[in-house]
Amino acid sequence: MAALASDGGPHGVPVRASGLWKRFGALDVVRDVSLEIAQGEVVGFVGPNGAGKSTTIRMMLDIFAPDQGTVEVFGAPIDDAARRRIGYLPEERGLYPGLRIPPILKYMAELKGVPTQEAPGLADAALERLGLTEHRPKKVGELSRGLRQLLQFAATIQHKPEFLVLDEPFSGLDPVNVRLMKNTVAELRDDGVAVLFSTHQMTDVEELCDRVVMINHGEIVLNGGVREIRRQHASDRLLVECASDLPFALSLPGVAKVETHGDGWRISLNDDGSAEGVLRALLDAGVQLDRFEREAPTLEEIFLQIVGASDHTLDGNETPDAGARAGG
Amino acid sequence: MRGREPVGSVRIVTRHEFRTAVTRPSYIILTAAMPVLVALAVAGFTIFTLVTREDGEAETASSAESSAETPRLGYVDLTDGPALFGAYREQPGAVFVPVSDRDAGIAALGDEQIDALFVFPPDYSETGTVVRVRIADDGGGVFGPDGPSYSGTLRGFVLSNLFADEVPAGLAERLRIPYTLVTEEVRPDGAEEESAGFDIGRAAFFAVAGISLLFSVFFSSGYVLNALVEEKENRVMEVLLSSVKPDALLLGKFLGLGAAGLLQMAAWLASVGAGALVVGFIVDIPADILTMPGVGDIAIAAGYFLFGYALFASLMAAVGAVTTSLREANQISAIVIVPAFIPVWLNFILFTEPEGTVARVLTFVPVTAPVTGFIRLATDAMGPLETVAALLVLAASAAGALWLAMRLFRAYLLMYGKRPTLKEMARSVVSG
Repeated sequence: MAALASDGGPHGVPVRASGLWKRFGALDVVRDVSLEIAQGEVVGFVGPNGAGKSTTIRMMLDIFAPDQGTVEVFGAPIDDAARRRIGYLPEERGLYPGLRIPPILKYMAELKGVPTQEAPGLADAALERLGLTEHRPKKVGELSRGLRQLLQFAATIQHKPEFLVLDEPFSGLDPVNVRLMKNTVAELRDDGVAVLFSTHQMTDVEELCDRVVMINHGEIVLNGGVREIRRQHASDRLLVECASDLPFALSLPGVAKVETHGDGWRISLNDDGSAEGVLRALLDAGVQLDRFEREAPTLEEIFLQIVGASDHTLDGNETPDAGARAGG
Repeated sequence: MRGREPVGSVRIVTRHEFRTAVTRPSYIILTAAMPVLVALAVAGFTIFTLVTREDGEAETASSAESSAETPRLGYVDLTDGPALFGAYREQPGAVFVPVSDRDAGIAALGDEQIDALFVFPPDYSETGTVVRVRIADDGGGVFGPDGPSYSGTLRGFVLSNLFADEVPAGLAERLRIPYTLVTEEVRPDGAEEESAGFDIGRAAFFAVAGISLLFSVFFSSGYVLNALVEEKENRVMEVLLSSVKPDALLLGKFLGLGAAGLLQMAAWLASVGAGALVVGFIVDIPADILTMPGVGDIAIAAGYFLFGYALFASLMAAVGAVTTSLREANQISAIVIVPAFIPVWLNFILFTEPEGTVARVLTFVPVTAPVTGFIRLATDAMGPLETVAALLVLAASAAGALWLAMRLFRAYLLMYGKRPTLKEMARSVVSG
């Protein structure tokens, strides 16, 4: 796919949500959420169940109207033309089980503005890309759950969207198909597609996303690059693996504690300690290092730290009717 | 994909819904059922008619063969002067055969060459006496010992011949067959001649159209209900809503499924019309009965179908929007469907008193209006003004129902698992 033209407004940002608010009854489900996604960027959108992810996504896609705030897609409020440049794989997904695959893909493509005569070719290409060609003559109801999910992904990307929204795209897929979808998402990103990727799986975010946005109780509590966030949440502990014993390290300046950790050691620094100082001291002491790194938390640990592990689970679906009472 | 010529979303949804609906096996079976039934009925009728016609022709041939079996009534004219009874021998149902004298007549009677013998004696002109000569032991067959009296036939024979030279030929014919009784009905005011005639063709058109509408509207609106609930159940709805606005989606469904319903109704009406033409050809039904409906009648029927469909489809869409499963939706849809059948249950009242209070009220109640309207139109009980007024009320109701459906649809289209309360629905409708 050719590089996408940038008409996303300033700095090539095709998707920009500013100050989104949404209230259902007495509950503010989304509060002052702002979000930008650049071309060729994959943004992980994470948060606990009921945090407001799906409602935010629906507002960004103009399925729900926000009570406050604005959404601009490709530099303007979303309209029919913009809608055709978006691909959306919702968490609550499905297809017509009684229909065969070609007419479904054709219908979905036409709704995205693909001319009728071009639709079959694009559908075939998407099916081939996801290894579904042999299933083409089948009815959806004849496919396994995983294949149905792949088919829906094919329907989502067949019209070559420039803004792709994936809500829990890998749930229910086997590892082979997860890898296939991840590779496809990566290819789309490389082609310049802006991807918003909502998930509970932090490992997927770490693997796929350039940036992560965390939402809790309707508010964004974390927004930044994956590495940057991990670095920001890095601890004052060092992980060291070497051939020799390290109890002597306790006597080094800036070191508060030394303990075994797996096959190596964990060194805790005091307020005056620094990783660079400890590294230099170890090398000066002739220690042959196999591994030396600052211990950084995983995104999951950061997530749990922020939202509180005791209040939320990482699996399961967002409360389904949380967004159902909206006047779209 | 930029730079593409956008195709109207409504048109795409309409086309998809139409294609999906008309390729469903249930739709195909239902649509084909009427033509098949009509074809079977016409075939059965044709076979029956041909068989009975052959029997009738055989009887006619037999009857022609024995035209002697047409009663041959011998008469002997013994009156003085010129022959009185020569001009009009053929009478309805009998032929009068002159016999030279009484004995020859008796001989002919005995040989069954004639069925009766009448003798006009010489003093007939003075007395008016006519003698019927009967052989005493002939038994008289099924008519008893005296056999048929032939009195009416004899009267016509006598009158027409007596006045043969006295009155013009046309009047003599009237003497032979004095009158043919024709009955005409008029209204109490007696002013309108046209009111005397009942337009069977028009009544049949509205009756068939009414039945077709009843089924077609409910099936079509049922398709809308099913389509909406299925898309909620199988979670396609949210995918669609990322591509098309809710109003456009709902409108596309209305149009596509309405077109499928209209096609179904057209197929049914066409099959019934074709069947009627075939039957008319076979049994030679008078042309005035088989007249095609006028443009006005077709427009009225189309109006009732369109507005009726819009009303019920909107109500069904509203039901589909607030329910969470097909089973629940079908149960709740009874609230919409059942009132529509009130005119069917009250059909006796509507047919006997098509201009009564009940009929007039039901004509303007939206959910009963379509069926009531067709019943009253079939009985020729609705004037133009009342028809237009009823259609306007129905159209306004349909528009209101569509507005309600769109509000509820927008509010609850992504609701899964829980049905809103009436209070919540009212709030959603008011807030938009």
